[in-house]
Amino acid sequence: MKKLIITSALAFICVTAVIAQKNVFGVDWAINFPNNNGYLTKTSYAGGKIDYRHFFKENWSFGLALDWASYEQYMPRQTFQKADGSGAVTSDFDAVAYQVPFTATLHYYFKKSKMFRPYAGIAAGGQYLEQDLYYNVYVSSDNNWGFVARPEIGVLINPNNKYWGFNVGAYYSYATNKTDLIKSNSFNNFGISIGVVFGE
Amino acid sequence: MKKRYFLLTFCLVAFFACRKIPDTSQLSVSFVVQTSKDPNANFSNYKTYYISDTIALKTTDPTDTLWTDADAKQLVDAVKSNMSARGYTMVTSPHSTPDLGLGLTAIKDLNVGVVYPGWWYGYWGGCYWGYCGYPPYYPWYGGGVVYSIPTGTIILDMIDLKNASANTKLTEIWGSVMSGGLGNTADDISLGVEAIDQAFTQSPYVQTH
Repeated sequence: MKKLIITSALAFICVTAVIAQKNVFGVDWAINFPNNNGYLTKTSYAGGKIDYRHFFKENWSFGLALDWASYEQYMPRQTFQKADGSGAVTSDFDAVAYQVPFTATLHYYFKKSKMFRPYAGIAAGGQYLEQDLYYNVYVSSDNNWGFVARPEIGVLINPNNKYWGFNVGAYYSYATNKTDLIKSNSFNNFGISIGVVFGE
Repeated sequence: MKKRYFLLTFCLVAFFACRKIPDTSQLSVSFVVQTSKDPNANFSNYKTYYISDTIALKTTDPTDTLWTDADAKQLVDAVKSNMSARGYTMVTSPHSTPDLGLGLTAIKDLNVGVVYPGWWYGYWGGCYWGYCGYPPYYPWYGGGVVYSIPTGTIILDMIDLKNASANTKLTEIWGSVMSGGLGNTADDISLGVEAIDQAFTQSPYVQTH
């Protein structure tokens, strides 16, 4: 069901972007740096973004964005003592997370200089997060939805005013996904994105 | 129209291609070792213990109740050597009023999922050797403690027999759940021994002084 919703949303974004005017449609590769109190510290290079923006004023756009990122980190065998001293667990783990935020976006564009058009904005919406802990021959899994807020900055690069260009961005994502696996109430990450844009 | 289909295909490929398949090949085969203790227990109050040379066994075959071969003995011996290293003295009979009763249970070829402490308690016949009539008691249970007991698990229980009569219950002052696919490979027993050693290593408070 979730895949169907995501696929439908993608189809809507793709089709709308291509047929409409004053619209920008982008596909990005995303690199994400998790920031979660020591759990999952390894950088993810397996991420991306599909981004649609509609300019309702010359310097303002709103839109929709679908991001995804896949994290994985091996944690060597170690002993975790419970905080109250009543117990402990020893194992090695392979920690995996799959993050899919679906957001509405609002961007402001600074003055254009030749081919560069810097912008700042905010994305907010829902985030699906799946977390798995693999250990020995077992796996413990948890998945849920949370609220995500993501301030963003970036620059649209539009060489020769063609209908296509590049988009380079950076952001910080804060999400309220709770995970009992690691007693965590949030999932946060920095990220940078590099991609191509099509549109006016 | 062609451009539209091209973009749609590109979007879908980009989205579904970017989910990594976990590489679990580097995970060790060592057992996952969990331990829990009674927060009020003073382990130096106990000096002697008893453990049977047999292991209670739970498998898909209801007639499997005891594990008595040389492999079982290796696991029991691992408990004995750790207890000895921590200063406890083994008594040869459960009727010699030991301070502590220890027991091993093995779960093989059976996946029972999440259970509560005490689920395996009946595998010594409903009571710990001569100590019948007292209900089991898990001091750490109540704070949401549940164990996932997958197949291939060894459980080690340490019961307070010294105060069983006064408390009118069999209090489990320490326990370990060790999971690791017991029964699948030839190395299982040595991994089981390693797990028992680890259970004691991560519980330095289990000692007579």
